[in-house]
Amino acid sequence: MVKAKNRVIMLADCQSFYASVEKAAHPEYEGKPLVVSGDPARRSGIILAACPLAKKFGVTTAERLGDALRKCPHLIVVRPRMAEYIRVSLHITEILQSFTDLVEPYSIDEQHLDVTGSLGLFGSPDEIARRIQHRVMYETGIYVRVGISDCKVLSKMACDIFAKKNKEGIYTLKREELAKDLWEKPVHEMFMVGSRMTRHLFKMGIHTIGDLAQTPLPRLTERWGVNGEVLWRIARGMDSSPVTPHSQLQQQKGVGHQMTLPRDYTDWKELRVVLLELCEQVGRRCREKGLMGFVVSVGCQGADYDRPTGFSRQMKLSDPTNITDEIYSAACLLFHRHWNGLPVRKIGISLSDLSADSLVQLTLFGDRDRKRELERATDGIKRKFGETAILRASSLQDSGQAQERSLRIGGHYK
Amino acid sequence: MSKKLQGNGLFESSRMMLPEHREAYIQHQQHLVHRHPPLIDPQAEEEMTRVMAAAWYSGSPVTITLFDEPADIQLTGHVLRIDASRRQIRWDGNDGEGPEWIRLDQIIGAVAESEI
Repeated sequence: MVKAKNRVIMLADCQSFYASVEKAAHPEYEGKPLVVSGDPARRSGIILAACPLAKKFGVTTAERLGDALRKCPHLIVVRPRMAEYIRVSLHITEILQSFTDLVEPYSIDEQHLDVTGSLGLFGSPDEIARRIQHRVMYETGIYVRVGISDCKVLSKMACDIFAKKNKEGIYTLKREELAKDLWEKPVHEMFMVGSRMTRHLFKMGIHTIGDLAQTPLPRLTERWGVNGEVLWRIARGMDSSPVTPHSQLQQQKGVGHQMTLPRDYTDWKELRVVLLELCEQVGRRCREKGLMGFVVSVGCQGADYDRPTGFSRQMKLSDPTNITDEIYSAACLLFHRHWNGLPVRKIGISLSDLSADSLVQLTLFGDRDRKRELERATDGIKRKFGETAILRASSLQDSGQAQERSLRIGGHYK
Repeated sequence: MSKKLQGNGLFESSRMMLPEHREAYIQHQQHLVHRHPPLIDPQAEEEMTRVMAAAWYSGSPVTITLFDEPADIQLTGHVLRIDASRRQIRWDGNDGEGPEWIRLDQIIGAVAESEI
């Protein structure tokens, strides 16, 4: 584990990211509490992000908008613009890449950097962190906090537990001082420990991160297996993961889409409409990337997540494809075979075992050339005039989601 | 050993990214990679020279492809002169900007308009 030269790893985290983007875009809201919420028209929507001012009023992320407005009636509510947040996140990636080529996004508002090789160019880790803060603030109006250490998990905790709470927004967690700094902290603040895990650990008499680090490893592995060892290693700061821009992010194993339906669908006639829409999206993305898939998987889930219903099954096709109709007929087959008729709330399709579509095995049956030509034309229309410029007639039915869906990213408005 | 305990497994398995963000990131990364000009086969080079010479001789339009970052540039126009010693051509792009010199080593393809 010990290397000749210690690495310098950072985690840069954006403060209330969505809310900060909106505040930077709307200077008139400065000094006012602001939240970004699913759909401002519906009081039942949830808070996606709250600015620090709103948080002072007790507004928290993921609570209902109605509850937040009760706490703070003059709250400014903004509709999310997911495409903009992605753009800003990549802008920050670009800024970070001007300090080192080793930048790896962890989520839309957190990115790891390995600056080991950049110290000679830009100065001490603290100096680099300050320059990052300054540039990101100057170019995007967003305040980033930077955790510094010698591996990814420690930099993450340096940020979450310390940098987010101090004045500079920068904290260096030194390995030699782990026992003094980190181990004193309660275990629920540790990376990868959620509320449920905290309860289990409490019952075992583990209250601080130090308690966890000093628990004999077998006691944890016999209860949680690998995950027990993961926690134990995090507590001890044992982590050799590289910061790599060529992570699995880049290689695609499958192309999939899923959606949560606005209500329970119980009728096959309704379900097949959304199923076709999903197949169309999956097919189109594959065609755009020049890929074909061999395996079609279909999954669905009921509305009650505590009593899970539904299935997830897959089948291999006779030939790899990216033609919507062929994906759809496989999906229908799977659905007929495995669906037990219970209400469906969430449905998803994916195509995997991918290969390039530049080489095609000729098939004797089916009119593939015609279908390909047709889809080339519809794809072209969509590319030029937008997702909903041309739709299947079935999508115009009440159960169709294509039009609503084209306005959203990750279930929130673009 | 489990995947979570080796390589980048812990972070790969816990990363949270919207598919749209992932796509945009991949595209962003592709822009960073520097492209290298293609190595041109001597026969292809000969063919390009022939096409340009014929275009110059007959005064017919030709489309040339220039290597550039981030993407190649395609120009359609007339070859006014071929300067073999300086390895460049005098080019009129028909865009009203007047003739310009283009280095031969920048050109990676040439097709006569009449052949398209």
